[in-house]
Amino acid sequence: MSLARRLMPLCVVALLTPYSAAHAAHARSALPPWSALAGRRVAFVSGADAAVPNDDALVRAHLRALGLRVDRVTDAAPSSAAAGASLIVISSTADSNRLGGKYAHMAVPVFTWNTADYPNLGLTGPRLHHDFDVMEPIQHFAESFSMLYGYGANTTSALSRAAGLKPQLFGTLYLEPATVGWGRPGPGGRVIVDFNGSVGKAGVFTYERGAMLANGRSAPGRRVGFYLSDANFHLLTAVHGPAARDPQLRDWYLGLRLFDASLRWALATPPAPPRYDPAALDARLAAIARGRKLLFVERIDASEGREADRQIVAHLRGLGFDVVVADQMEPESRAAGMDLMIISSTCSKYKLANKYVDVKVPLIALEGLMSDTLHLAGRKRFVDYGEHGEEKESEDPPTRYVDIVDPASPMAAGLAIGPVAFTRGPGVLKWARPTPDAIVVATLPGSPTQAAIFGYPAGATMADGFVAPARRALLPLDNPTYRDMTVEGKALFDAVVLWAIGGERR
Amino acid sequence: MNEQPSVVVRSIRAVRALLLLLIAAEAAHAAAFPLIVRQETPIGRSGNPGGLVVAPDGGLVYLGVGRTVVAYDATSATPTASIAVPGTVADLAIAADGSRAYAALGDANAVAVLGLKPLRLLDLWRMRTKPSALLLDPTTGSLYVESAAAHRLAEFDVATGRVRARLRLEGRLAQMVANGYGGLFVAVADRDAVDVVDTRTLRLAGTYPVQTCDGPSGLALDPVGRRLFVACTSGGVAVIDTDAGFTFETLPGPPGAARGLFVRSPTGADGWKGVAFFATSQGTLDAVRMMAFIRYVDGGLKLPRGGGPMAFDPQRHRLWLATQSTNGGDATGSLLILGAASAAPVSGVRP
Repeated sequence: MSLARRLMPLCVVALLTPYSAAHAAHARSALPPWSALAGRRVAFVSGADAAVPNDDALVRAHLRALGLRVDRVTDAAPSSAAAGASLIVISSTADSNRLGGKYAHMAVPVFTWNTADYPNLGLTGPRLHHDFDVMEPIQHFAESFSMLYGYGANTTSALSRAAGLKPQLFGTLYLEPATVGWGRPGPGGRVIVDFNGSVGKAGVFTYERGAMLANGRSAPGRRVGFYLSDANFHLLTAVHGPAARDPQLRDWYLGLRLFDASLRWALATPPAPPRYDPAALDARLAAIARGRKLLFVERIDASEGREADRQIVAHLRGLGFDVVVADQMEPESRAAGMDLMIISSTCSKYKLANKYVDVKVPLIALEGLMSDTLHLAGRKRFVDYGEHGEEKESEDPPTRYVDIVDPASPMAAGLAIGPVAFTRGPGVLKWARPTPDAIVVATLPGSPTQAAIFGYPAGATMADGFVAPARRALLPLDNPTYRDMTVEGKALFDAVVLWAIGGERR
Repeated sequence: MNEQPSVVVRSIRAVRALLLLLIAAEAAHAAAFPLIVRQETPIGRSGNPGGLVVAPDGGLVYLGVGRTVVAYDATSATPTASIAVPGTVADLAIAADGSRAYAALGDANAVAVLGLKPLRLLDLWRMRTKPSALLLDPTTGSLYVESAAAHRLAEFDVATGRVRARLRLEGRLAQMVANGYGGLFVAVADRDAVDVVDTRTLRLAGTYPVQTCDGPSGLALDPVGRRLFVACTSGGVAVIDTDAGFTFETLPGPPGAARGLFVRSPTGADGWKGVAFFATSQGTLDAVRMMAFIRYVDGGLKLPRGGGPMAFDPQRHRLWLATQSTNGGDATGSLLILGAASAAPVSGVRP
């Protein structure tokens, strides 16, 4: 019996194992089924003189069992050897020095567990132990055991849903010390699985096509980094027999399912990036806004920012929203029946208390300093959230730019990767470090870990383990008059409002 | 200038040399087959062996051969009694208290109930199918009878001889083993799988795919380590974690239909904690030796004939193995008694 036939039941089990009806339904809608990917060509890049034993043959057989056509490409071959492939898979048996970034520019998706090659591809920075590392059981015996436990850092991406990831630990590899790689992705990367409670040690991470890589460049195609090494594909967890009936155990032994979901995500066609067209965006938002109820919470008659609040409310009403203005001291019951709510930066974080945290209404916060109360980020001020340009609260100078890091997100308004003038002049811009379950659209200049614009999908795991009751977003509009925003800044504002209300799905 | 290495350097070198020696010694020790043949006893031409069990008190060993069950003295390996049974013995099982044994009579569609003190036929339980293997589970008080040809498993109440439940399993059934806490495992050769049966309900609880070798036939179960060793007819031994049904290791192994036996000897003088033995029809005895629950090494021994049923005598730390002719026309066979290489020679050892 061929290896492929042998592995077929494993694949079928991995693909069909139910984890939750809701997740499965979403996964089906989000990623194409394997049947739709059958026949795709995969260039499998491995070492010309790879050490044995290794699991390359097993992986190739697995890919074939999934219906893919696999061509072996040695690490010494030119990148043209992968031309025409739908996916480039890079094994850790390939010599990263031979690879030398030859696939970095290719628009073909890349799925790699060659940790040492991460910097060549721009997936991580270049510093070993800091930006990436390979933990092997001889030198790192205890830590290699800790890598047997991965954490579902992201549970709402299409990949995570397809794999059935939950915000909990799971078994990455079978219970024996093994060599495992991790990376610290750049600003446009999404951490799917992390190790040791550190999002900087990503076991699985992705870049959407166009997202900002660790080297500041745009990902030419989808990219996936995975925690495997030469000879442990066969140890990717799976469960069979009576234990497979236990949903808890199915959620524990999901290494192989995660591998397959990562492949599927990499092979899937990325969504077309939005086109930058502020007028069209405005029109689209207006079409959706008509008749929708929006609660705008502000400090009524605030001394600073009152003008901005009026301008924002006027803009929203102009779009067709039925805007209800509430003072910061009114009870959160004001949110009942609303389709969307915005908390103005004129509100006092202290006075607002913990209101609106639980409301099942999409919420946009314009005040970054409320990141902790709203669970948008952790509770360490200046570490988990902060601001640029505030004289007494920041070492960072005032700024007018944000860096777009995920142009594929609808919240990016179709703006290209890189710096975008958000306001006409430099001022205060807030930032926070959201959890990996957030979609980060923009960071502050020179601060790739300080997210200025981001959103949490409903059900996402926010800071402190809080589960988003509805969409949540941060837009750092700190008291400047609305009119101070650039055209691009206003487009970002509209795009975030449109996303928060679910407009991209209509 | 003093060119002599310092005391510290010399000490480090000495320790390093000692470590290297220890590693080399462990490797050599690990690679060696844990037992040697210490005695061989012919079993005549009355048929191929079908079942071998050691009495719980360690006094006697029972062998089913042809239409006979023969009792051997466990120390001298000489026959002490025998009894004719109304069918060809396919397998034997013995009660935990040593009072009874059961013989699957393949061509008689029956299970013979034997009294052992003295050896006599007590009862005959008729079946609709041809029994091929037996398994006595002391925890359920049941005798599980496999009928490979009929793809059936029957659970007998040993107190009454009545069938409690039956189960149909798809495929070519091979060896079965039980873990003593609700799980019975049946190798299914043509499905490359091991079916897991819940002994509390006698229902199929799930299936372990065997993905790294073809034709699983022999099973050896370590119920403490929760490891199921699966020998394949294509060669190779898959090691499955029975908690997860996950094959985490596949070791080389000889081809051929195999019968397995796990022997755990945590305090044994044999230098090993546990071994999964597989005797193959091709005349090999393979031993997968447990170094740790995740580390195993294997070794092999060439047999004079095809390997048959096995049993382990825990008191004397000896493995009994019945061999059979690989030539169908010549039913000669022998009983091999294997012991630790380091143990004192047994009287009458044949080289």
